[in-house]
Amino acid sequence: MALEGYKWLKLSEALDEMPEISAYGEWEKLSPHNRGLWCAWHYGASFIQDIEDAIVISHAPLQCQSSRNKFFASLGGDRAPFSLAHTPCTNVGNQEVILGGEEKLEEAILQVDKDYKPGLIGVVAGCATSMNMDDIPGIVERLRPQVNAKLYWVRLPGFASTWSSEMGDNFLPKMVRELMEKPDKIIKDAVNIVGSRFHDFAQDSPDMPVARRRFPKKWGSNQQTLARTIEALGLKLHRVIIGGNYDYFKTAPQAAVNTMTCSDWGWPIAETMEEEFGTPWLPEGRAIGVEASSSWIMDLAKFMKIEDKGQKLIKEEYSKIKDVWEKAKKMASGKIALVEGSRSSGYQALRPLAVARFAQDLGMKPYMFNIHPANMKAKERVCRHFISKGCDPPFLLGPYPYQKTLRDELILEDIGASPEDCVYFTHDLFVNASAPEFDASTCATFPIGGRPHRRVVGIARDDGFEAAGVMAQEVIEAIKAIRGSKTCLRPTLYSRVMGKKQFDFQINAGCFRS
Amino acid sequence: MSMNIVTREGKSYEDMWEPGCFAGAILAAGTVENSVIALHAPSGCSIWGTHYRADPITTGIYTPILSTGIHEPEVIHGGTKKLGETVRDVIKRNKWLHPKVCWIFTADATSMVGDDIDAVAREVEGETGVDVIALDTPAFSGGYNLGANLVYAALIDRFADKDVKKDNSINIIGPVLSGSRNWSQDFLEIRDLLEAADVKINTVLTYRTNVEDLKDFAKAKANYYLTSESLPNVEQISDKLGMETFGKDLILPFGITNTEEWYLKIAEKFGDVEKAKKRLREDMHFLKTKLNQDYNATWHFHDMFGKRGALLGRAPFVSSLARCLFYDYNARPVVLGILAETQQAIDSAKASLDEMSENLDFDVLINPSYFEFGLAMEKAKVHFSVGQSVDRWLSEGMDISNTPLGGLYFQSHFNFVPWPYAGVRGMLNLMTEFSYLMDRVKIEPGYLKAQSYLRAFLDREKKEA
Repeated sequence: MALEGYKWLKLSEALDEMPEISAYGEWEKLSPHNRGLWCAWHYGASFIQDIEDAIVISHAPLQCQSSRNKFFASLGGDRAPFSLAHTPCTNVGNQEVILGGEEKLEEAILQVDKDYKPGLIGVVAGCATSMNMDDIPGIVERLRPQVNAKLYWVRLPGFASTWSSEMGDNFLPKMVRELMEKPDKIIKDAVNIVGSRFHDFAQDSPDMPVARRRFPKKWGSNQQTLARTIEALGLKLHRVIIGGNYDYFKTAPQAAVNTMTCSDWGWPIAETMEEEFGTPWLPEGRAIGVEASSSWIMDLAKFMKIEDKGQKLIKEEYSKIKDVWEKAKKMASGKIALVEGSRSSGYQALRPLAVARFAQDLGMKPYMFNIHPANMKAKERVCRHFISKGCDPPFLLGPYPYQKTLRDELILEDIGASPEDCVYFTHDLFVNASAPEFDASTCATFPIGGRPHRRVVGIARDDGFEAAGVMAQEVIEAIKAIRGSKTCLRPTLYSRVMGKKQFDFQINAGCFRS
Repeated sequence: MSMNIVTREGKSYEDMWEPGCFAGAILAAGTVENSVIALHAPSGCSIWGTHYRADPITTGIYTPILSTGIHEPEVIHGGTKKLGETVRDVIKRNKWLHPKVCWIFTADATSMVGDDIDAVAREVEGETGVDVIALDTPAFSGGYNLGANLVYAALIDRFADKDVKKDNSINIIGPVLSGSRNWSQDFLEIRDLLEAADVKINTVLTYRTNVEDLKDFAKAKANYYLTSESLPNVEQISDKLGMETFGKDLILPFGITNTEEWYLKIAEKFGDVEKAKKRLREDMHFLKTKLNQDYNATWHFHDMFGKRGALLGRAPFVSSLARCLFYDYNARPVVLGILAETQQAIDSAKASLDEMSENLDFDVLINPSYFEFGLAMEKAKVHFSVGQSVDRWLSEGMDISNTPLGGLYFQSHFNFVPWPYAGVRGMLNLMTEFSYLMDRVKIEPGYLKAQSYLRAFLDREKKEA
């Protein structure tokens, strides 16, 4: 076997075979060293900043926010509504590591309250200040009477960056417990969308000197798609979480039910809201494709006891994309869907699964690979939900040491397929390609994650029927773009740069002869 | 006329863009030939480490990084064993590179735990024969200049022969620390200019540095620094080797005025002034042939006249660019945000800018917070800003057109054309950058959309439908 140490198992079987996510020693044996996880500080600070009148104080060296800000600054306009520039930092140095940084933190909290007049101040401690055990809760308690903002704190050292602890069990639930308020009423037709980031529906925060305002987008987002769907069912959108200002965020438990856009983020929020406030929730998330979108609608319709409306809406929505969807299905049916993970573990579990489900919906056979098993195991409940919906594709289980990926030619050899049999659903960075064998000219290629997936103009991709139509059209175009080997291949520049042969005359000597 | 210095004394928080010590170590080590890096850090720092590594890749070198990706168990029980495995693995996996040096860098958590990185280095060095250099580089110990300083000093300490005969050559220190995002192309231009003026370059720390060449490091008469920051370890070790420190107060060669001053001073000390003048004339001739009768160029030059700008970035780069904008362009750089790790860089920037204060009123904010810098831009009613890519949000959020020329080259820098900003010829690149900026200065955001006939037509159609 070309892929030594790796094996294909159905996802459900692969999950059974993996150790529990908390069994650190077992994971070290199965999959040594760095598992490519993002930093807990990075996510925690960013989530708090999704609340538009919040200011995060980084109790860490400047390095943490500098790197994070640079990263998000590169993501482009519509993805980062929080004002990246403003992350006041205590800039912990040698002295604070040894003698403690409490005094510096106290002064920073008071100064930030004065400068920014925020609704919420979130203190986020990194590695050094989590290890030197500065009394952050003590400072927060002591300063509460002196500051106008709501004060919140959390320790998020990078070394605690595991999917199970940083998001699922620690950070998001803590945020829900400490920042949301017990509802004084439940609005019976009100629906939340949870698991979203980069909000579209927030209220303005006019009192904040450096106000961050809702941007009235002309073109749609997944949130807007789901909001339209909720309203088309005769229901009311209540809150999109995480988003809005602090008042908006804290009143989310007034909704009758939580629905989901991204299950990775949304699941722990919804679970905690159920525990704390009794808010019911629906697990369908990242509904890409006709089947998944129908399921999302019907789950909500059944919960609200309006199944007829749900069926009617599905019929109407499908009729708008029927032609393109069926054409895509005709062209893609029977092909192998190569569904790849990402270097960014933030997308590892849910997005590839949702894409696999979308591919299956179009009649393809998905194979999932280059996805670190720990990310799937940490999101086992999300995976099991997809499995329960009939999406249980072959998953390449193996060590992936240091988050290193495998080359696609090995994958193809292993499953006995050739490029033209496949549609390659890639992620954003260092996608496999090598002229002349493997390239968008030989294998239909469709980037489905990260930065390349985004467009400002046009219909939002991912959730809902319209998005399914847009993505089906892209599958059609990707398949059409295969040049085959009968004429000049004309490989992409990318695969020429990455590959062994750079020009058509090296690939096919007769290409330009009459 | 005056230069108004605004310091941050008494301010309780900072938020400037300042990658930490281990980032600087990666930047410096990333362009040492045949080297690999074992980063003893959590996964998050590893992700940042590999992102920073993108910058030295512009020199044509790929330096593999493996991270230990430590978690709580290593913080509690120590991660020395895991580090040993990672160091062995990074050497083994990259045999194709024929590693000569393996670096070990720590981050905050592993530094505080106090894993015995030196013992691991000695052990693996004995097993593999590869030089393993372990440096404690937590972000809390300082910024990226400090990290580069540690790497440079370690290279000298490890590879330089102590007793070599001196000549009139120079070593160039810190190309990556100049503060220009285009530093690797700038360095090539600087090297070319120096060689044209018979300035003999002995070695470079670091730009595609081969450790074997460092044997003769001490042969140079002086170290010429492309940064005004203090690099204490390098300076100390060089002092012991009897080498002069040069260039801390020398303006960087961005723009015509600065290039002339820089070139003639350095040629006078280490090379041939007449040859430097000849090269300046040749380069200016090249510029003239491109620009002399070009309608667009004359438009561009006058476009810049009198426009008020704000600059934010590393001290040596901002002070040089401010002078370029004022002297070469007759623009008004009225708000200057100087980012510096050491007092030496601040003092040097002030000295470089002092001459300008005879003819222009401007504010110099030392390590300003974004809050303060934003307010200063608003108060000064600037028309444009030049910063680092991370600053774009601040300026454009305030409707101030921004172009990122500073900082480090990674993430959302897409300048693929190998042409410098430095030197006389580099003006062509700066002019291109500034002309895009001036375009945006003149068009109010949303104006084109408001004026679009077709947009109005389509909106009307939609409304009627």
